[in-house]
Amino acid sequence: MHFWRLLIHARDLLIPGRLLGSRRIAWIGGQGPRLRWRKNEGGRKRSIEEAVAIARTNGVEIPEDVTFFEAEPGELKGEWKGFRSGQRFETARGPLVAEERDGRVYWQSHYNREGKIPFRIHPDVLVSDEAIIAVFRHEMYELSLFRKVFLQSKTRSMDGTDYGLQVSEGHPGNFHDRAWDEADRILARVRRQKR
Amino acid sequence: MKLACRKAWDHYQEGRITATEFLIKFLNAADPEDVREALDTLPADLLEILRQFLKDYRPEMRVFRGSPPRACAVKMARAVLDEPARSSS
Repeated sequence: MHFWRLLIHARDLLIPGRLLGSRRIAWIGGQGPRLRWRKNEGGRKRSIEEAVAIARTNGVEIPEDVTFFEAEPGELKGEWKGFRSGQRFETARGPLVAEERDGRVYWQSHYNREGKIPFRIHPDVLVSDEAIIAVFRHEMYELSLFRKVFLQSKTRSMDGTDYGLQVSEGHPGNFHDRAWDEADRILARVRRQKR
Repeated sequence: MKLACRKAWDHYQEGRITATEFLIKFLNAADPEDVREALDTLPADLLEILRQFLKDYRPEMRVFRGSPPRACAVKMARAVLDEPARSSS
């Protein structure tokens, strides 16, 4: 066996069991899931309706005022291929919101014309049931944290700077980061149950 | 309506995007020469949201999960909406 093949073999043995367990994959700004998602057999792609059902069946709570869409190709950054090498992969995107004149973000701004909070899901996520569970849990958990803060405020608003800190990359322990921990937790539980 | 504006409109109608995202995409996609014409296609409720958005807009305004509007697009839209015939409506 060539020396480089031995190295690759050693890397494959080490990475899944040890290295990845102790560090986060460089994801969006260094924050992301610790678990690697497996693609569906034969690369089977789910529809958004199927994805919602898969997430719900596996314990992801999806509020009634949330709606999902498959993002158009190129609408969200990156792709699955970059996942393993730690490149940027925007798995989903919640609603765009803008700070108002008073420097605050309002809960009402998160809703579309039908009174739902829209989320766009990267098409590559739909080829993995594990990714679906993790990404939907991530988004719904982050949303639940925001909902709590907004609803505690009399004006249903949040300071724009605080909001930015919670959604932005590179702030360990913020809502975005904690939501990936939750995503890992639910996926680990699903894997244990399927054994 | 320009294709990119039409696409933003379809996304808004479908519920994929919020009114704010629609207005930003619409403003950024509209041709500078045809802003007036583009704004004429907006329904009254969205024009009202746009007026408020333009009133609130500051260059340092933060936009989350998306890009802010181009300053020149904001300026053009403000100019059109401030025309006497429109501002009185």
